[in-house]
Amino acid sequence: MSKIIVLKCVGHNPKDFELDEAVAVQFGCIKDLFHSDFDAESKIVVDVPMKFNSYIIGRILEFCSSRASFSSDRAYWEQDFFHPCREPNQRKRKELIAIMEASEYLGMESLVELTTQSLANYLKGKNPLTIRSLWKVEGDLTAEEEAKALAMGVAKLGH
Amino acid sequence: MSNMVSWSKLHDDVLQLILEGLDIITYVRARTVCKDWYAACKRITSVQEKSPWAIIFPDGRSKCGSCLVSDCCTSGLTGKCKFYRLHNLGNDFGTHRCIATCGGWLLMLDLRSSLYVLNVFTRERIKLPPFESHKGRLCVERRRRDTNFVINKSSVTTRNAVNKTNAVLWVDERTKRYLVVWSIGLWYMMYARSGFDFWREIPTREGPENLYGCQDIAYKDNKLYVLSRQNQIRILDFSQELPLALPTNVEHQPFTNDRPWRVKIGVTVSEHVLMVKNRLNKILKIFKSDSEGTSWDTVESLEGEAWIMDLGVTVPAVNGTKPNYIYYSKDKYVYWGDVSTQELGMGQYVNLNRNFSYARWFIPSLREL
Repeated sequence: MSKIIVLKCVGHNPKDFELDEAVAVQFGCIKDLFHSDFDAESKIVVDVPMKFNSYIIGRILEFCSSRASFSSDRAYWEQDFFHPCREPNQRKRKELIAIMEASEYLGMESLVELTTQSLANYLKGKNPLTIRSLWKVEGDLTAEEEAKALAMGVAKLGH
Repeated sequence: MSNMVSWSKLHDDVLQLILEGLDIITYVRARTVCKDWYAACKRITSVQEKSPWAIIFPDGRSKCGSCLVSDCCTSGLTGKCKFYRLHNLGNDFGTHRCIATCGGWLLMLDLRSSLYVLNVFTRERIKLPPFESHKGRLCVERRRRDTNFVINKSSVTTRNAVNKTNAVLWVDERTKRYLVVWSIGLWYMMYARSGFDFWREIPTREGPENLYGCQDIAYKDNKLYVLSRQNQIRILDFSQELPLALPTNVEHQPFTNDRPWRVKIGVTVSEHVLMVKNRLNKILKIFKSDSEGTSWDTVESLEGEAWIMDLGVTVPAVNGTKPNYIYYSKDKYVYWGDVSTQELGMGQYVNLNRNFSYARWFIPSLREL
């Protein structure tokens, strides 16, 4: 009997996702379930923490199943999936961060790497003042700490 | 999840992963964003770029204490090259000449006094022994505007020596221990390392005659590779205090030298030696030593690696570095090109601003203070 893994998402838009083996083996935390001795059940339910909603899990699964079948220009497609070249709006950034955290939870290293690299690319070339205003971070270094931080590299803040 | 996602609420591990993915210039800026980001950077401890950047130096006549760096390789994927200016490198920096790099460290030749090592990010300087400390055949004559090197009866000014110079620099990022090897012309080579108060000569006429002379040098993993006058490789082991010649069995000379072609060497990831005969942006032939180091085979690819000629080594082709490419610089221009085409295209026109002149490829790295 072939096993089925079900990801159960609760919260805002509850949904259950059935995974076949090709997709499930991409998750470090659940691939072992396929090889365990669950003879009694052929269906295993995995509860997903509430903070990862069904939309995010759905995006991850969409990525996994397309990736399994997509062969050519994979690197380009993977990059394009997360729109790294365009300046993301708040919603896209939020989605990317959620996907990154969820893929870290699910043990999917390659997706973690892809999402963190996309997020890193959004910061590229921006000076600290721009980063703070775009991403709502408060600049809370003291004058002394700032001097220490600036001891390296570009001399002027905002350059 | 709230609508206003704030990056300052990111989990520490996640923030660290993002910061680790930054290029070196953005990383240096990210350190100053806020306390959390600064703390995350301190945990990262060191940053290493994987692809070559261009570093562009000021014209000698300008009073420019800064240089430009650009990641032409990776930004080539998305279109425009970005240039970043690094300041406060010293008032006389514009009059000094960079002859080698190692990570973010530059080996600078001050035409009037000495060689020194400068970190382009932290501005830290490592002072090298003065030329006069030399233990060997070199005599140094100081003049008002430059210095004259006299070796036996030949002399060359530092200004002219730069064009006949090959140099390698090695700095251990953690301990700041260094090794510098400098060759002038075909027949003179000297080195200095941490703990020495003086420069020592490396004889260029030692051992069998086919190993005499020094056309080019490369350094990797404690070994100095010297290309002799007859296109053979001599290897010196620098892991102990004094260099030790390793036995070499190269049997045949792959070609004779005919000007204006010049020969350069590089060491691959697997420690084979590559040799290229080139002139400006044209490559004539590439040779690779076999695994025993006894003979040379003509090759038409770099087996997926990229040869950064200014560094004398090949690197894995990742992150925008193109496989089987050579990255080369001469005067105002940096070049890159596929070895199979035998011609390097001009990668970047450096003379964007009359205050900047020559350029080199380097692979920046940085260690947290």
